[in-house]
Amino acid sequence: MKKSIYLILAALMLSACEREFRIDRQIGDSVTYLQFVTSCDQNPSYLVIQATTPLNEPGRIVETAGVELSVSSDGTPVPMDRITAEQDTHKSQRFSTGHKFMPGEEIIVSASVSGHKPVSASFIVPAKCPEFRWDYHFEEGLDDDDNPLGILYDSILCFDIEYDNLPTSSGRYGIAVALEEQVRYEQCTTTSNPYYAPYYDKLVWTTESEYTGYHDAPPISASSQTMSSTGQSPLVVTPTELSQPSLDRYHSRVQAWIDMPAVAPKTGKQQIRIRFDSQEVHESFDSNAPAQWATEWYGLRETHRYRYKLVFYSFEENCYNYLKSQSNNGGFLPMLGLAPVSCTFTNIRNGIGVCGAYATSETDWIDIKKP
Amino acid sequence: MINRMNRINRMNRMLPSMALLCSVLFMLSVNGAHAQNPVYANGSYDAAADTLNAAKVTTDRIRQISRTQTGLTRLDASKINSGFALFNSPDVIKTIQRLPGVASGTELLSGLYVHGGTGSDNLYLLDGMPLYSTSHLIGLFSSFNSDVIEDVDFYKSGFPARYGGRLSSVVDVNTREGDMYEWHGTFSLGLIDGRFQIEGPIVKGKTSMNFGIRRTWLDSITSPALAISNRKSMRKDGEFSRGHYAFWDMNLGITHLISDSDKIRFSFFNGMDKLRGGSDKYYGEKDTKTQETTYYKDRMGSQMDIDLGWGSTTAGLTWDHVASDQLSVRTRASYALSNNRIKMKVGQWGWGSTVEEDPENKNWAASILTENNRSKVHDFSLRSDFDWIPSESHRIRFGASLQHHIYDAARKALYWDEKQGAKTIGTDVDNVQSFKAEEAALYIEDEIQIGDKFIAAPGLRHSVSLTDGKLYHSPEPRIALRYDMDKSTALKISYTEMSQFVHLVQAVYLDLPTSSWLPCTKEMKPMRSRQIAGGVYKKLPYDLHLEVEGFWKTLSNLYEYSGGFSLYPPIEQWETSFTSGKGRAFGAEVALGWTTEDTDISLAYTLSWSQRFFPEFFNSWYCDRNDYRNMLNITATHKFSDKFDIYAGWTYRTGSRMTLEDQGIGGYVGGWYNPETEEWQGYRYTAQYTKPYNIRMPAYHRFDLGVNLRKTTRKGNEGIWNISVYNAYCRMNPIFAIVEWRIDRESKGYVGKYYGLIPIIPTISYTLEF
Repeated sequence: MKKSIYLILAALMLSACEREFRIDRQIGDSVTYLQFVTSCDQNPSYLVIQATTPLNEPGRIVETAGVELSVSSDGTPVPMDRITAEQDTHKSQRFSTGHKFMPGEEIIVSASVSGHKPVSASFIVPAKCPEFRWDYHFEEGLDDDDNPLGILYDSILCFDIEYDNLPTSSGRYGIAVALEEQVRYEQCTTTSNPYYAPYYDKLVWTTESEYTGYHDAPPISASSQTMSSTGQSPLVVTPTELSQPSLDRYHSRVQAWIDMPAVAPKTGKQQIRIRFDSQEVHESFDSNAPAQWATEWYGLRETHRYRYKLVFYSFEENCYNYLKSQSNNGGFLPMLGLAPVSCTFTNIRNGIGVCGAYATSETDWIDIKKP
Repeated sequence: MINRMNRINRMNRMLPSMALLCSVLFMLSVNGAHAQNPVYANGSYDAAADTLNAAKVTTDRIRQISRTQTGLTRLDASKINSGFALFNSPDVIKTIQRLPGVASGTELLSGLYVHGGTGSDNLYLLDGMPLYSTSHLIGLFSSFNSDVIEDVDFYKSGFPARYGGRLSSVVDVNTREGDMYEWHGTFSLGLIDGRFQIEGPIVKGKTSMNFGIRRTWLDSITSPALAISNRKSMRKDGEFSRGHYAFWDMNLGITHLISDSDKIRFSFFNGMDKLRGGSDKYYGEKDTKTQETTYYKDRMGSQMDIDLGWGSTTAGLTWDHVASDQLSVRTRASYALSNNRIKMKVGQWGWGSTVEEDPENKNWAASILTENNRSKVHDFSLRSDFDWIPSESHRIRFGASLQHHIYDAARKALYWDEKQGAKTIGTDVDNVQSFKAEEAALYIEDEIQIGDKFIAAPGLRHSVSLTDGKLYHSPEPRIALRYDMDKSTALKISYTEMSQFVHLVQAVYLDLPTSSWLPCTKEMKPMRSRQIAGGVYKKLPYDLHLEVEGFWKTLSNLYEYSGGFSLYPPIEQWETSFTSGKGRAFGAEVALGWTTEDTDISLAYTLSWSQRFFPEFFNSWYCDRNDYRNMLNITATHKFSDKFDIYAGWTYRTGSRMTLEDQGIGGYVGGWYNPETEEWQGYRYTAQYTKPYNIRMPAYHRFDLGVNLRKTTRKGNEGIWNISVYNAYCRMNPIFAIVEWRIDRESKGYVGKYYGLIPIIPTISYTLEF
């Protein structure tokens, strides 16, 4: 379908006449960006505050100076520790707190940056996420070695998730699948590169495009980037992350997650399907995937093992809206003014960003055994 | 649950009651019929006259000053036909778009955006029957054929209680009854379309018909051109292109006078646009010696086909009955169909062997995607409208209507891999949303003359809708007040509430059949508007007239698509893919006109604000996409002689809005300066939006000009040459815009690029009236 959209737009653009116009004068001055996404399952919690830079001013760096911050939980002040003495290389200031936020607490955040309007936001910490049951099975994919167009995929891993007794007060849920890839080389060095890749309910996510990046990684990679070890929110992307091109996959991660909005039934069953595209590695992929595959690479024997973790999310409304807003960021029709715009959510008064919360419930790592 | 069941049960009991009420009232009026003055014999009875004054004075052209309602404009056929005629066709919608308070959008996104409306909240009635689709050819033409139009009532505020079902405006188009005594018509030829209209008596003095048809022959021009082009491209590149566009519409009205007090009328309309396009690319093999490529027509390489169709059909039977001098009734049974569809096929073939190795073409595989989207609405309606003038100071109208809607939206997509006939299905989507909805309404309105200077027109409409087991009630009070300060000055004020039980479900704003009409359900509530409007209306010396109006309008339960990138909204999850919000609009309008026998000059200026609040998009009010701060329309017609008249019109409005990333976080803005390209490159930041629709595109303006040269033929018929220029100074008005991440030394900022599609369009046509 996208093809047809591109064709229609390409035809329009070819037949249309283009003219330049100035928009820089319509862009406003710097505002305050505030991000504080926490969870009763997360400790510590991090807060980022930064003065934005208007994009029509090349080369300008707006300093985030004179920050004053106040966070309260049900009226009680929450101590926030400054992580960076001054603004970091990305011109933001970061804070953390070891405070354990409890379900139902109202959190109020107020902040000000020198030269900017004071900003504020509030939210309620959602209830703990209910437990769920899970299982998996395989479905046959489209495997055809003789297909002149190439192989599509050979198997589909399906997780079946059942939940019940969802709290009715916060009705916005999501399911993410964390995929950990372990790469073992002949020298017996091991690297672990887990990353979280949530999936749409029915749409299929191709792992290939995500993990090809790892082929360029050195045999012994950097430390693992698990949710807890980096202390970063599993869902919301910090300015630091986004400013590093190598972490672009976080972008995809945020874009794809199961949207189970307020209408989700109290009990239900979800199926997550994972398709394995073997175009790049089909010599060894077809027999071992998705649990394991191996290949020879520059004289090294390289074995990949995968295991999964299922994470069930319950979102507070602001958090949900922000994630949804970010996931719609990529559409170009809204940017052309040809479709509704939905990538602009913020709950920060006089500023931009998000303050919100979520709760999670997750499985242990699941080793897949293909029958 | 019990309450809901009770409501539904009450509704089920109410529907037959309302139908019964209609019937009883109608029978009473029939029984009350007496042999009165032959009201149809001279054609002077005007059941649709909009006001008490209008009912009394039917011959004069009625200006706004003499009406009670605010925001009402009546356009008669001569007004419409004296307007601009693009490609030979004077246009109702284009004429309305020049009125104060009405924004036009741009080509491709055309329509009526009235007082901050969404564009899908206008009630289009053709002979009282609803039309869902009203534009041809990316909005350049409307579906209303001016050859058969008698008049158009356009309301943007002060809606009488007899109208309901949409929030922002009413466009009530009435077609002309055929001449009862003589046959005559018009025949018109333009550059890309033609029109034919004929009317006359089937039985003299008793039965008449009026038939009009329009059709473009753009397809008959493009098809031979494509055939010639294909012959060349087939040899050279192995490509074969298809393209076909056509639109047509047809109106038929048959009127029969049963007696002096009874008349029946059959009306039929069918309008359709069809657009087909695509291309085939054939498999080719290169000769290593000659380096020439031979393409094989029996070996497909790739194929793409798109087939779009959109249109409407209406049919209705109307019975006008005059029961007495004081009471008349109009009863109408009608059917309306809106039919949109998009079919698409994209295929890619792969060949495992050369033609020599595989002369029977056996070794192949293909990946094929087909999509079939449709959206239909069937409306079955029955309504009775009573018009009772009990005394000189009262005109009471009341009535009831019943509508049965069938909404049918479907999306089917099939993706498969095929190898030598064996199929492997990859994706199989088959989503159908089908709803049946009942809608009923009762209304009453009175126009009361209080003394010489004051008229009050209170009214109440009560609508109910039952869909998906959910019953919605909507009481809609209406009132319009008029005070005549003197013979040349009137003050008016109106308050109206309107409800809309149907939503246009769309993911893009384009004038393409990618949207679906679906009803309110348990999750999707009816939209609602409240509007207060008022103004002063004055006749000035020297044939000048001035109207100054202000309005304040609120809209609630608006819905916008909030899902991901898509041309179509997801049919299977449409309720969860939309988010609700509200809107408000306010502004002032000035209309200044100068009218003499030969000259009509009008100026319409609007200063307005249109805002939205969708909590899922932003935490505060923001300007709407169609927030046009200033709109100015100047039109002039002048008749130099019986043989020569001209038309000129200039339209200006502030540009539409778009959303642009305007702030950066997380890094630095700038990068490094590349002296070779003289551009800044390598920005590193995360772009953020401060609010929706934060950037305004350049203003829309254009100048249209037209000349009519009239000549009487030897046979005494009138021939008219029309020469028109649309967009005379070739302003490429922005349809959409993009932003380039180029920051050069000159602009010192973003560079926006907008794209315009419609250049200057000169046209010539010839019309023969016979």
